[in-house]
Amino acid sequence: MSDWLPLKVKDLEGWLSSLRGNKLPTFRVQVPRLTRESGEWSSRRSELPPQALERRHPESGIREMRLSENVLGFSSFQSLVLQIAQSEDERKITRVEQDPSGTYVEFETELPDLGVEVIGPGGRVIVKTAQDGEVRALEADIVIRRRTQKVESEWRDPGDIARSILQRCGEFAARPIETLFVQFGYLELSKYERQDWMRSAVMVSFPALVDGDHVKWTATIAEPVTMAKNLSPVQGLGSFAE
Amino acid sequence: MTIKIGVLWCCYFNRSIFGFRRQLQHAYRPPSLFASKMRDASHEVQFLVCDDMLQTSDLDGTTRKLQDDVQLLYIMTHGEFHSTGYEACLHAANWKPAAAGIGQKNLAVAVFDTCELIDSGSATSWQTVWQGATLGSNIRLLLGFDGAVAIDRASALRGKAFAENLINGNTFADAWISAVKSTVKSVHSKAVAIGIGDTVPDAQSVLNTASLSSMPSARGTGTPSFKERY
Repeated sequence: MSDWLPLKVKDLEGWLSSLRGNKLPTFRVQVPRLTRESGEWSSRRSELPPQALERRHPESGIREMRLSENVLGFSSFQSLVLQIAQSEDERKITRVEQDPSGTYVEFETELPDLGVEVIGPGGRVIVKTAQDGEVRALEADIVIRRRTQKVESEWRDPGDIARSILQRCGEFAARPIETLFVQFGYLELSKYERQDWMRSAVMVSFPALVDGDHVKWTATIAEPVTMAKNLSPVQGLGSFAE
Repeated sequence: MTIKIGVLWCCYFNRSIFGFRRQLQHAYRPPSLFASKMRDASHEVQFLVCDDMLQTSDLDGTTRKLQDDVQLLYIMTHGEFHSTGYEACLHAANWKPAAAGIGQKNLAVAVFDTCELIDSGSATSWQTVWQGATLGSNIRLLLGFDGAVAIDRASALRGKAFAENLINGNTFADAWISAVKSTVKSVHSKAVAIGIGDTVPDAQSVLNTASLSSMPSARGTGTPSFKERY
C-alpha cells in the first residue's frame, strides 16, 4: 500500500503548495457498457485459458477473473493478468505488495504520462488464491479504468484545499486533530463504485477518536487539488467525497 | 444453501465513548449493504436492530439472545479490547460477548466490524483473553480488526464487498480480509479472521474451508484453540 506521509496540521498548507507544478488534467473514464450478461461469470475470449471465468463488475465494469489452480499455476496466471491489465489503460507498475503466504499480491500503478501515482482503493491489480469448494481458485481484479478525454484543470489555492480538508476532518473528529496522514495522486475508486472521472486529489487518513494516545477510530476522505471547468468538485471522488 | 443472518449497528450513543460524545454516523452502512446483498442472494435476514432499539439485554440473555437465532451475525459499532474481554459499544451500555457468551446455539460466524476485536499491541495476549471467554461450541469464526479501523462512507463498502465475496464462493476468512483490503484505505485497517477449534489445526481448517456452502459444524466443549489470519 502507498505510504502515508504523517503531517502536522500546521504544515498542511505548505505541503500542498509544494505539490503544485505540472498541469494535471482531469480524465474522463470509459465505463464499459454494463449489461446483465457482462456482470455474469462466464468463459470469455481472452488471453486466459478457456476454463477461466470472467465478468465485469456490475457497478464499475472492473474486470474480474477466476480460474482453478489445477489449470494454471499462480505465477503464470499472474503474468497473464498483468498482460491483460496493460490493455485496460496505460500504467506503470510502481510497487508490489505481497502477503507473506504468497497467496495475495497487489501491483500498484502510476500514470506514466504524468509520473503521478494512483491512490485510493483502486489503481491496482490484485492477484490472489481463494478456496472454491474442494479446489483452490486463482482470482484477479484489474482495478484499472481506461482514461479517455483529457480535460484541462487548474490547481486550487492550497489555503482553500487545506481549509476544506480541516473542516471535513473536523466533522468527524472528537477533538482538534494534530497529525494527518496524507497521500497525493490520481484517485481511483474500488471496484464497488462506478467512476466516470479520474482527477488528482489528496487522500487524508486521520484519527477521529482517541483515548489518550490510543487511536480508537479513524476515517479517510479525499479532496480534489484541481478544478476543471464545468466539472463539479466532487466528480470522480465517489464515496470519498463525503 | 441459505443461511440466517442478523445485523446490528449503533450510530447514536446516549453517553460519551472514550470520554467524548461522538456519533458514528456511517455505522449503518456496512451491515446494511451486507444484508442487502445477502438478501438478494436469497439468504434470510432474520433481524435488524440498531441504535437505542438495541440493548445489551437483547444479546446477553436477560430478555433474549438475538444472536442465537442466526448462523451469521454482523455488528458495526465502536469496540474495545480489554484484558477482561472484548466489548462492543451499544447505545446505552457495552455488550460483553466474551462474558455473556456467544455461540451456544446456531451462531457459527460473528463479524465484529468494530475497532479492537483483538489488539496485538496490547500487553495482554488476545489468545488468553478470548480463551477466557464464554464461547459456545457452535461459534467457529470471529471476523474483525486487530486494533483501530476506519469507518467512513467509502470504507463502509467493505460490507458489500464481504457479501459479494461470500456469494462468489470465497471462504468467510478470505471474503472478509479481501473485502477490507479492497475497500479500506487508512493508516489503520488490519483485518483479522480468527478460526476457533478444538486444536490449532482444527481452527486452521475452519479458516481454510468454512464458506456459505460449507458451514462449519460445532466443535467439542473443551478449551478453544485459535488460529488467526491477516
